[in-house]
Parts: sequence; C-alpha cells; structure tokens
Amino acid sequence: MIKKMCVIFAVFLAIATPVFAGGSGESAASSDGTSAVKENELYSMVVFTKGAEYFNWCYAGMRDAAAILGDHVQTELQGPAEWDASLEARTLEQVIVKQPKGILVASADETTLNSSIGKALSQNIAVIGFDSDAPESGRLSYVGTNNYDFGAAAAQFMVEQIGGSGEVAVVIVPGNIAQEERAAGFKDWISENAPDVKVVSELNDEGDVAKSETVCAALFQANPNIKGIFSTHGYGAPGAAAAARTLGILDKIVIVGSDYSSAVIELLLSGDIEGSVVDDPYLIGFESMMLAYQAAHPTSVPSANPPFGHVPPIIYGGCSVITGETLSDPAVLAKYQNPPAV
Amino acid sequence: MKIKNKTVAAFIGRVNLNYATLFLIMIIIVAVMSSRAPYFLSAANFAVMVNTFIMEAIMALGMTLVILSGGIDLTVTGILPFSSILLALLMGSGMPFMPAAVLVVLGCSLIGFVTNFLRKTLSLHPMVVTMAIAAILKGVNLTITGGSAMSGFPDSFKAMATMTVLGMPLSWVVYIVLAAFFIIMTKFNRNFIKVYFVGGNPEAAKLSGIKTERVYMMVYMISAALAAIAGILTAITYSSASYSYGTNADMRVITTVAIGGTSLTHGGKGSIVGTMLGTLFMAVIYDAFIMSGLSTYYQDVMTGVFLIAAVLLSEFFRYLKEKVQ
Repeated sequence: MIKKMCVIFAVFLAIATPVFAGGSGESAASSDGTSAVKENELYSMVVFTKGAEYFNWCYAGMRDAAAILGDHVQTELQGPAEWDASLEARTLEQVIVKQPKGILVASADETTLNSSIGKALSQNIAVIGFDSDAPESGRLSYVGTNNYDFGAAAAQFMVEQIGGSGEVAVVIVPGNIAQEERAAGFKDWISENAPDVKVVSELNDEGDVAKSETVCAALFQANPNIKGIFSTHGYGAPGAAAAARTLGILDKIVIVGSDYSSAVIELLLSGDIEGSVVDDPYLIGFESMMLAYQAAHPTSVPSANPPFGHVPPIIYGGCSVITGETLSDPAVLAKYQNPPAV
Repeated sequence: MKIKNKTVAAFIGRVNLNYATLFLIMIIIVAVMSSRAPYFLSAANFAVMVNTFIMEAIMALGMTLVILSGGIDLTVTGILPFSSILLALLMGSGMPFMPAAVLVVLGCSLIGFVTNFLRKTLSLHPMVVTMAIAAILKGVNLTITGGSAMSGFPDSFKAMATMTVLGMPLSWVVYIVLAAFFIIMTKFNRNFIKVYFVGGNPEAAKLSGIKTERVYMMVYMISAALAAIAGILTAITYSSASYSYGTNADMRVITTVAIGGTSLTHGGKGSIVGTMLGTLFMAVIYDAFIMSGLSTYYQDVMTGVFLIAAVLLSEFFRYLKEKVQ
C-alpha cells in the first residue's frame, strides 16, 4: 500500500513540477536581432470558451502580427473554457497582474468585464476589444464585424435559398451583443425586403451543439412549415443539421450558419448546410494585435485616448457567405480545413 | 503491515498528513512559480489570487457540511446566478440593498429546504435531486434574463465593489466571518457536531436519538444560503447579474472540499479548516496557470489529477492512522 501510494505521489509530482516550470508566453517566431535592444513586451488575448476554433484563428492572427513586430513581442492566450462572464473577468484580473503592454478582449457579455477593463486602462495597459464588444468599458478600439450587416447578409442568402417566401427561425445565445446584432440585422432585412418571409421563432441553444440539436428538433416538429433556420453562432448550424437529419427533413430545411469550423466545413461540403456567413477571425486577431501595439507605443500624433497611442474607435472587417460551391476551390478549402494549432 | 518505527508512528499520529501534503505541494509550486513569474509573489497577485477563488471559497464552507453529512450539492451552480438575478430584480423594483439581500438569502435557503424535502420524500440520491434542481434553476435563470446580462444597479451598489473594511475587500471580510463562524460551530455547537455523526454512520446516529433529517435539512439550507451570498457578492463585484455566472462552479467547489481532506467516500470525515486549506491550494493552482502563461487546457487536467490524488491520499492517510492506532 505504502509503495503504491509513494509511486502515485511521485508520478503526481513528476507531472506537476514540469507543468508549472514551463514557459511564460510565446515569443514571436522571427529572430532579426531586435530582442537584444528591445525590452520584452507581453500581449495577452483573453477570450471566453477558450478552445473554440474561432478564437484559435484569432490567436493565430495575433501571433503572426507579433512575429512581424519583432521577437521582443510575446503573446499568450488566456480564458475559461466555459461561457462564464465572471470567470473571464477573473482571468482578466489575473492577466493584469502580469502587467502586459496590451490586452485583447472578446467579452462574454456587455457589462461584466467593464470594471476589469477599466482597471487595466488605469494601469496604462492598452485594451483592444475584438469579436464581442463591451462598448461601455472604455476599451480603446474594437475590431470585429458589423454584426448587423452580418445578419442582413444571412437574411439575403436565406431568402434566396427558400425562394422568397415561408417561415424561418433564428438560433441565438441572448446576452451576447454580437449575436443579438446579427439577429436584429437578419430580422430587419427580412421585414424590409421580404414581406412573404416570416421569422416565427427565436431559439436559445446556449451555444451548445447538442442543445441546438434538441431545440431545433423540437422546433421542426412543432412547426412543420419551417423552411429555414439561421444560427447566429458557430455551433447552431451543426446542431440544426443533426436535428433535420434525424427527422429526415434535411432536403426541406435551409440551414444557414455563422462562422466556420471543421464541422461547418464538412456540412457545407456534404450539402447539409446551405451556407455560412463568415468574417475573418485571423485578420481580426492580426489587426487587434497591431492596434494594441500602436496604442502601447504612442507617437507624436495626437491621440483621442492619451496616454495611449492614436487608434481608431472601431474597425469592421466585413463578411461574406461561403457555400459548398465556394469550397470547391482547393485553395479555399485548404485554408478552411487546416485550422491553426494553439 | 505494521508501522514498526516508533518515531514515524508518533509523527503520523500527531501530524495531519493531509494538511502537510497540501503545504508541501503548495511550497513546491510557489517556489517554482516565484522563480518563473516575476509578479507571482507580489501583493497585487495575492489580492487577485484570493479574489479569484473567493466565491468558491464561500460555497465550499456549505459544501463541506453537506459532504460531511454524506451528501452532495450540485445546486450551487444554479443558485449563484439565480441569487444575483433575483437581487437585480428586487433592486430594480426599488428595494434597497439590505432587505433585498436578506430576501435573496432567505429565498435561496428555501431552495435548499425544497431540495432536501425532495431527497427525503422521493428517497432519491442527493446527486440526482440536486442535479435536477440545478437544471431547473438554469432554465429559470435563462427565462428571467432572456440570456442577457442585467445591469443598471444604483451607484451606491456599484460603490460596494471597491468598498474595503479594515483594508480588505468586502468579500474577504464576509468569508473570514463565515469561516470563523463555521469553524467554531463545527467544534462546539451540538447541532453541527451531529453532522459528523450522521455522515459517519446515519443508522447509528438515528438509533442514538439524533434527528437525522433535521441535520440534512440544515446542511442543504446552509449550502444554498452560502451560494446565495456568493451570488450577491458576484453581483456586487461586477455590478451585473447573469445566468452565465457560476458555470461548473459545483465541480470546482467539490474538488476544493475533497482536496481539503473531506472524504467524498466516507461521510463524517473532514473539517472546515481543511476546506480553507483546499481553497488556498486551488487558488494557487488557478493563479499559477495564468501567471505561468500555460494553456488553461492543462488546468482541467491538473484539477482532475489533484482530485484523484486528494481522494487517494485521503484514503491512504486514513489507512496509516488506523495502523498507528
């Protein structure tokens, strides 16, 4: 017994010690010799649902931007795996202690992170919002997508696919400003441009693919007239497709998703999903990093947010609809099928 | 096997090996981290480290009592956000903070009462009942909020986020008062000492005249009330209320209690002090991951490893003590 426990304890220590003795932030890949003269600078990306492919793309963009800026620029990706705004705020507080030069934040909701972002700014840490905004937080800039236009693009595509008339539904996680704007853009475009199309239901799937399947299956059975469904986030479309497949109505339902992941790409290729509205998370991460660096290194140009450098309040990156046809180009497909490893 | 060396036997008999092991691992982590991360030993990091785990720390006090009684309480993950939302609703209707907070705590205690009532009347395992209540509360939280974060608290409420008492944030003071209260009560109060008897051997406790159902009711109501207090403090900290708060908090809290030496397999074994130590340990671990810049993916792996290690070590130390005795 004692021997066994000693072995377990030794294994445990063997795992724990090297883990914590590991690295502290990834250094940019380039080695042009600038590190000899420039002090190392840490930039942190803080997200919710860490592990989501979307944020991995954002972080890949951030890393590449850091590599261009020099190997004195170090980056790290932090955040809870759960969609818990309070956990994200706690992570942000811990990151602030490390005194990074800049923090890139995708906020789990509009308000919870406000005080933590304010604390970072008060300590001269440049904070750039990206993807999901906290507009009242005082963040210096926001890089993302005009989500209202994003929803409108989805509506236009949906109306074309269902032939200009019929009932449709929207999948959303309420409380997330990006998704609410997408839903608003979707509904407004339809009410203004497609009088024969009606949005009859809004479903909350909590951003979970299994829950999405459950709520969509219930919707399809309760509303046999449903012709299309639009998910405002990346997990809803795979869930809706699974529900339609189970009920044997895949060919009767038009599914339009948001963003891209390996699952979405496979479903677009198989035709189970008609289209997905995408922005460019890689570029969002890239631009956010550049803005954070810019804000952390003020020039003689007057800034709207002294002592930080001059940065624009908002940068929108645009969006487009990808379909199975779009992915028939091998070069395009290769990009989507090879998500970055983080 | 017998422990033949008298000095070793005396050491094992006198020292709490659970606590000693936790201290040893914490010293190793702190030593490694302080050499790796320049801010790890700073006062600012200590403050953030405590803040980071203070809500789990408060809920762990109640969870300790529940686990000591032989039960488990997964409702805390639903009660924490529910209490913040209820507080926002009451204060939004014009009610001042104090009466609203008291109502929230009482209301959530009632959830603990209902949980125990269902456990008793339906003869269900506490895990099933508390899981069901947590699911119901999650649905209620989403229905009330529509999934949106609730804000717009009055300025006096927001000011409490930065309020200090004796130089400490409000949440620390609340925790210290509560922890001191439960340490004293579990040592000297007859009703709390009964929790150990009921958890250790419910049948014997019943035969000796202890009203076991009253004990179960007390621990579930206390656990719910403490989760409500954690929810109120979360709302104060972030000046918001959201259904997303407390996601998976039940697992973090149970892990904390188990690491503190309270037995998940044998009721009646453990202590509030051990839980406090477990809380500190978890706070150090969570902070170490962020400060070292390591992927938080490993955090869950390590939490699982620690949980298994804690249960195994707890059983091992129990075995050693038995041998010594």
